[in-house]
Amino acid sequence: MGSIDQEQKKDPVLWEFVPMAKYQVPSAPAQGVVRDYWQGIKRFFLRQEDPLSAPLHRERELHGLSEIQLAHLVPRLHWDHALAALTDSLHDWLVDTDPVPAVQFVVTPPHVDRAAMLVSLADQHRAHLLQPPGVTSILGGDFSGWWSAMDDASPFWVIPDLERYFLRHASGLDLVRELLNRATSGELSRGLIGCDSWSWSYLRRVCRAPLYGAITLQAFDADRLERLFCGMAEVHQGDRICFVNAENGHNIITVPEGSEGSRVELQHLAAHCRGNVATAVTYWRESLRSTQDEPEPASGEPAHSTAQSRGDKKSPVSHHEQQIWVTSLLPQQPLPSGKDEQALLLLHSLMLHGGLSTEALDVVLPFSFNRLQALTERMKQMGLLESFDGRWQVRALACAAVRDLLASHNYLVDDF
Amino acid sequence: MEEGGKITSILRPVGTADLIEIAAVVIVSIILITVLQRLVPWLAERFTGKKRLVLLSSVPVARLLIILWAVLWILPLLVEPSLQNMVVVLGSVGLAIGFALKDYVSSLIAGVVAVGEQNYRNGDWVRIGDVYGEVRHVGMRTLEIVTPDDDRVLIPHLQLWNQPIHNANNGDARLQCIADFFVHPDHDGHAVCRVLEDVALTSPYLYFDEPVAVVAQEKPWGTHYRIRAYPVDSTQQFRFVTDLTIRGRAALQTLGVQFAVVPGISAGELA
Repeated sequence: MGSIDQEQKKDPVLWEFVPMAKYQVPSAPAQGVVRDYWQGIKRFFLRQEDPLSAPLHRERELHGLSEIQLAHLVPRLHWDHALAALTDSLHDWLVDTDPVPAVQFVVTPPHVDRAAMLVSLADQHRAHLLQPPGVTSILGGDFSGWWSAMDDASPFWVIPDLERYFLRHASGLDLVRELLNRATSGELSRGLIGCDSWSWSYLRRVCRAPLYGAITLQAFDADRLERLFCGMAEVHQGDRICFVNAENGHNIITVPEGSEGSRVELQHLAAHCRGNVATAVTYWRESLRSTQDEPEPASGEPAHSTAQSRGDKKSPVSHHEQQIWVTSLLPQQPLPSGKDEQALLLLHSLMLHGGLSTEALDVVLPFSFNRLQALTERMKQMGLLESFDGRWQVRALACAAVRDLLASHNYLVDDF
Repeated sequence: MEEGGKITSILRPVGTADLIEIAAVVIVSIILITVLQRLVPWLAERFTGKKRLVLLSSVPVARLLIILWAVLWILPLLVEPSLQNMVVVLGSVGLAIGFALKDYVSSLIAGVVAVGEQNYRNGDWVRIGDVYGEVRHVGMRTLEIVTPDDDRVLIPHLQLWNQPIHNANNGDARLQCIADFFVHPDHDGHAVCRVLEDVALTSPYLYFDEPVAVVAQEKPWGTHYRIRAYPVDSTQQFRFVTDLTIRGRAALQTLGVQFAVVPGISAGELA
């Protein structure tokens, strides 16, 4: 088909693993700060109905793209390049026959598919993949079976998801403490432990082991996002795809050239997502629209005649140019009011654990099961939560807003 | 006649314009104070933590300034502003009030001192005598406290002169909470301390930027343990202590620890 695959395989700097202290949260452009401040003032002074009790209402101005169109423009993130960057970052440690430290930690923010990366890495290096015990086992305190599996996992083992090894309960920390104590004291063989950033922040404070030296995926600023989005979109030789801001007509990105001027929308996006590439890609996918009379992207079909017949005031369209509208890149996420303490506790528990089943939530939260069920269902309808693999988790599109809400109420958040 | 002449020389002749001006100043002051006392708490409820408390604590100070401004505006309209006149007037007023309203004035002055020394502010949790609650309003004469039982208690400021004021948070958004456990003497103290510390570290209300401590004190009947920790917000203190207490008891029971109990006394022993 002759499509150009411009994924940034040849540019390793796009995907980079760095020590956590070097994670650079993208800063918001000045107008973004002013807009957020103004929205904050409006929230304080305008009476707003509590979304938890308000009826739901959704509307679309333009038409969403089909799955086929999205697959061409913003396919699901493949973590192969991130895995390559991780392998590159750990190269010396992987080849060393007696590495120090024996155990490495990889910490990533929510929705970055760290587990997939580490499972692939384990497969490549023939490492043993350890499975977490269940919630009942974690609370029960008998880990002899799990430790036997650990002993059999020498010389190289991988734990992709440390957040599944503890529960925020007085009886739920024993296994993870023992594991981290042994890991940091050199008692274990070579191992790689992956952990969610929120869980890591919590474990650093409740475990008595010195947890240092973790690495993480470097933040995606506007520059990296631009290169990533350009690389993801499939475009035929000679064609162009223009991603245009539906509110002001500003050309955000043109594939394959890149941005033409200020990248304020991408700066907003990068700052809002705090460098989390997974949530940024989700926002990007969700914001893409087209008008119904625009033809489907097909090889050799010119789009300019339709645009010109509409009398568009934009710059002259090339022969093979497709316009994709980007609307509400950062839609306002309805959130529970700060006075609903139970909603905040529920959200905080889910973020700390990287998702929990309803039964596990009942163990860690101090209110009734009925109330818990009602809250989770209502938050699902609000678009805050989703059920994945039997666990409730905060949706990618809600992560940033939930983090801001919890931080403003002084709850523990992650270090990013 | 001579005394009457002296009094009239102290007071200025008050015309219609002066009366109108005085009335206007009084009305404006009342309006300003009323607006301030409604607007600032409403605005403060939109904030959390320290910002809310700072806003709330600014109300009595601002009211004092408005009243002072009004008095300074009106006084020269009524009294010939010479030094001698001011001394005479203020001395007479002070003497009368001092006798008749001794305690009232004492409370007023104590209120000024309290505001100046910041002994308590709106949003502070204080204990004065047997009363513990949140300061909702620092008035001119009294302090309004709302107790955990949702009782509104008005305490005259003059209590400040001879009663200790226990301020749990002193303008901060957080205060230390204590959960008590009374344990039978036969137990492993180290294990109990570890378990209770974990109970605090796993509370959903815990504020992590303040330390958690478990304190043990030996008593004749057993050991008294206390978890000292801070919740995310001072308004959560009772739910936090409840959470610590319930989960602490459950954790200690799992550990096989017995609790100290008061031995029962039969009716026959009482007779």
